[in-house]
Amino acid sequence: MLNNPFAVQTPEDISAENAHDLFVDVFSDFHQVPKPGHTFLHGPRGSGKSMMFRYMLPDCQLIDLKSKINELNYFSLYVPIKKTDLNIIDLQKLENHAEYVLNEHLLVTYFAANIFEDLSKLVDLNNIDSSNFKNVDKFNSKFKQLLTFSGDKDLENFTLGEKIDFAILKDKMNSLHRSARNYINRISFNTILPYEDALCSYLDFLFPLIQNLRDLGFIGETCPIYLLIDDADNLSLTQTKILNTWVSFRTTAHVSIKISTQLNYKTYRTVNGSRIDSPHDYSEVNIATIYTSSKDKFYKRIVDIVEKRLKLYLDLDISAKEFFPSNNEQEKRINIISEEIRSNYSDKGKGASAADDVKRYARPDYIKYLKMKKSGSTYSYSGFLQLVSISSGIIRYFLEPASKMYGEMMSLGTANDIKEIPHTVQHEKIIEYSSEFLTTEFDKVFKNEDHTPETLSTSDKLYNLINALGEMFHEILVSNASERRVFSIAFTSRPSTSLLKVLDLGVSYGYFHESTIGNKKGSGRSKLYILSRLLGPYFKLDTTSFAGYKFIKAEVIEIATIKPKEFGKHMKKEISKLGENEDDHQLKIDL
Amino acid sequence: MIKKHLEYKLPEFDSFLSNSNVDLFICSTSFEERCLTIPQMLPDKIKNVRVLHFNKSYSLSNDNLDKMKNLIPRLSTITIEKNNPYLSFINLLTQLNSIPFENSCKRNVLIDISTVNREHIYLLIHIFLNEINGLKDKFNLSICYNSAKEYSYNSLTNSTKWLSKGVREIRSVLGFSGNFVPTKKLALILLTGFETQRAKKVILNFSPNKLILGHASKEDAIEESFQEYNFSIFKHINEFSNYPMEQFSFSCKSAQSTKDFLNARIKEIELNYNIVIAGLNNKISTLGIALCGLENPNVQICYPTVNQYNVDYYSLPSEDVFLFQF
Repeated sequence: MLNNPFAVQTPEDISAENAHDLFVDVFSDFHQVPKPGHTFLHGPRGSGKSMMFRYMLPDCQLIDLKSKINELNYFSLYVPIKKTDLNIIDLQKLENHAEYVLNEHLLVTYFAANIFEDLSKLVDLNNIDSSNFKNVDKFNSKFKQLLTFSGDKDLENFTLGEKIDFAILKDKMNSLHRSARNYINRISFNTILPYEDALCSYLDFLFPLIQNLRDLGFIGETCPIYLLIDDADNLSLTQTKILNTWVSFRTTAHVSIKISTQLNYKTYRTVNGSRIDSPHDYSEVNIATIYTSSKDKFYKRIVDIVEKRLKLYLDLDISAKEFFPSNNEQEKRINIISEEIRSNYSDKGKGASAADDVKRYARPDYIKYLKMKKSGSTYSYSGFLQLVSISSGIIRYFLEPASKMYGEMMSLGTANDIKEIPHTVQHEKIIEYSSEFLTTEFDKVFKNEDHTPETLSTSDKLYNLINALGEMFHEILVSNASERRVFSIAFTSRPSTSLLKVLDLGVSYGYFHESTIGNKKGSGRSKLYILSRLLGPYFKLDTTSFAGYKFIKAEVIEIATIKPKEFGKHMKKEISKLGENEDDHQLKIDL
Repeated sequence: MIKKHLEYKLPEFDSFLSNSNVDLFICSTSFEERCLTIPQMLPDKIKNVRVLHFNKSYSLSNDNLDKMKNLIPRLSTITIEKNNPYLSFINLLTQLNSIPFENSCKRNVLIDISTVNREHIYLLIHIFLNEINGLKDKFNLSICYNSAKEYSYNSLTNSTKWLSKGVREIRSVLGFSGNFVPTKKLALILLTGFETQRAKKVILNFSPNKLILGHASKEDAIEESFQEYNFSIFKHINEFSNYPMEQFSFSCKSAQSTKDFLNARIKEIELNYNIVIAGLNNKISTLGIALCGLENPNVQICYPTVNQYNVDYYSLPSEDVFLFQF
């Protein structure tokens, strides 16, 4: 176990016991994932996709179910896709030369090698006696047959023993993969050479190979087999089309493909140009959407994660709220404001109930009071509830700052007796983290301001947009508007291609989450772009609210991306006019 | 592979050029003024001059191309691509093969890599030093490099210095994609420079099982202040990284020394790891990485493209020229 209970570990590198101990069952939120059927699991980096896959692997399931290997509910095979494992630039050479065939061979051999690697580790680490496997001769003979049909020319020296040794099978697949890679490297700078090695496809090689594994008896006869493909955004466009083609095959009775992406999946087209669609071909889960639209679900998950870790690492039986206390002074003052709102409700009430007004105005009024007072006091973002809200539906965004807070406490020499993280440490670290979140992508952007709209890159425009919206949301928070806790925008007009590109980049970086909302005309739904709450501390927003949004003209937001100062000037003017009678959800800014 | 490594001051290098027998000179345009330093010393006797120029380039680069054309009227342009290295390669190979030389004896080519972008340095090294391209036996290769006196030269403090912002894409380098074993773990060897964000992005994108993080060595730094700034960035990245990490220092003056270190480290870990190398320091260390890549075909070199460069104040040329003869 590590010293820091909140340290983020790569699921791939965690032992089955550790993964099992740390995992919080999230499948009630994502019920499609462990069920048979092809599934896409989308979510930004750090949202828990790989951990879900890790938990679904047989070694964890063996611990969880305390069953025999052939009694598992499903049998998962894990294939991680790293950045340039498969998506290599030299494949461009294949554009007019068996592009799909060779790419599919690369995918199939890569997948098969990883599957055998997993099985080899599973047997070794779980003391599974492979001499008990059934039908070894039958499996070996079928495996050799598949290799023969693939055109493998190196079969004479390939012998399989009486016992199954997955490491030998893995080496064989590694070797077939590397032969093809070697061919691609050889043609990089030369004319096309004839390809004379094996060619493996999904339907002729990988699918039957996975089915044949059942013959060995360690996978239950009716047990569904899942192929867990992690970070499929790292595949090339051609490879993505090939994977989609596999999804289009109705193989779910035998093998289901579970694909995780970081919201950058390149296409849903297959190699013949047709589309795969949900729910016809696959089901789809977006972790960010589920957790940003259901605050309670996410809150409960984080409570479970934190309390599990406090118990496991620190042997502490305390609540997450106790470990991450709020700033008491601040909460007292907010309570006083709440009482005032309650007692004035009958005269000055704006919402449906006094409680509703307290929720809407107490915290924003306190933030406004601090700003007006100019005493140097700042709003504190401490407290478990706020930290969960700030983490914006992404588990890593809670764990990483929590890990830094705990690290700070350790550096203060209190490692042996940490029973809580003081609110000052929480506040300091979450402010730092919020600021880093923006500067990770936009480090030192706009140190020089000599840009013209024409020279702005998409990321420059995104940086402008984030700042413009962050400042606008802050202005609304401290205004006289009736709804002040605004975090989202929707458009009343059609956004241009250029603006959509900026917004898409923002979504892929995790600065915005997408959702939908009934449009102003009531004739359908519009896309809602929700600013990540992780930016809340940076822009001094009230992060405890998920509710507020503004409809705004796309043309105005376009101006915000290229002329942020001009946007800011007009925006402040309009917001200063907002009062009790304005249309709650419409913000008109004339430029 | 490198037979000679020489260092000159600009006037000495001018004399060297006048007395040399260069048959073909290759350089690159850039938004950096440095792209003109060596070309403007070129004697008339060097008949064949080719300049690499990006399709859809910055206006400053276009201006520098015009200046070069005025200085060297015999100069021809080879168009290269920012985001299509394969097309760049085809253009380079086609144009280099079509230069009419009087006889078939081995020619001397001198490449000024001062402002050639890293990806094209790798391509040029592959073209001239890998046998499969057919040019290795036709040319004796020399490479020269005019180092920078200062980077981000309008910034008064290190904290406001910047060379690039945003990372557009991280890709393997054409010809250096390596040959990975699908089931091995990944080691990333990263030679840090002045670009924090670019380095962080490379690490996050690869999520390596082992990170080998390098900084410029004190003894082989171009300038002491460069080394200090680089070391501060190295420390920052080191703190940011959550991956199992080891550190090393490399030479910014000797490509051979950088290559030798990388070769030795690769030998130690290649049995257990697929290896990716990313170079973010100067062009001499980049040259060392390219040479290492040639000798280690299983190793991958990667290149992170950026969203924007500090085109106005990127660098100022120094008085020093490094020459590497192969």
